[in-house]
Amino acid sequence: MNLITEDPIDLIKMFSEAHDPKAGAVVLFSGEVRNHSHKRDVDYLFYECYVPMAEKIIKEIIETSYTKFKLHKALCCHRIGKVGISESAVVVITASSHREEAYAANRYIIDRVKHEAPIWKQEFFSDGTHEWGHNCSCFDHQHIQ
Amino acid sequence: MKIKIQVFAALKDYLDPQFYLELQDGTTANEVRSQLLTEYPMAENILRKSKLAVNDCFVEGTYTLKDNEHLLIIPPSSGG
Repeated sequence: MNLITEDPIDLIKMFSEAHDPKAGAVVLFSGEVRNHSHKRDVDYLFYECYVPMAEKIIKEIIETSYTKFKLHKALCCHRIGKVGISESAVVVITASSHREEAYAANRYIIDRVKHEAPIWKQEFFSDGTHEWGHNCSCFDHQHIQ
Repeated sequence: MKIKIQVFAALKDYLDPQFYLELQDGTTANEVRSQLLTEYPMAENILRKSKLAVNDCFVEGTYTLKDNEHLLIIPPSSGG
């Protein structure tokens, strides 16, 4: 499946690919577009991405998650371009024998993808203005590796 | 030597998305950043926080550029 897509993410299809006979726990995280940000009404988000590096980085994060956690499946897909309210901007699914590993691995993947993949969100507000998001400043803090 | 520079996201509010620089042999990635800081002081905050990559791999600022390489200036991510 694609790691980066301009199309809406098909949650059902993605979830169906995550089932594994050895997995007793499948965790799905969907990062969705809020209708508000910093007390302002949001119309939609636009995600810019440098695809060659983003794909390489997300692939490495997923591969590393298999070495750090007892996973049977790990999937991630980030949408780019215009994303509307309540649509999924990013989805991570992890399947493990037990829920502790599935939750922890899912958190590990989404945290690293948000902070390391060269993807940038631009918020478009209802008042007609827009600005670049700044939910991460990787030089100001350390992320759990 | 000639280096292609590419910037992203908020940096494009200040710099062209892609442009070329003629540089002396031995120029480092940090020296390019310093040159851009001088030319585009309004972009200082984000330029200082940006990571550097060459040919799609992250590099340290001390990396010595080679002719025809492609230097990426990558602002902090804000995906998700």
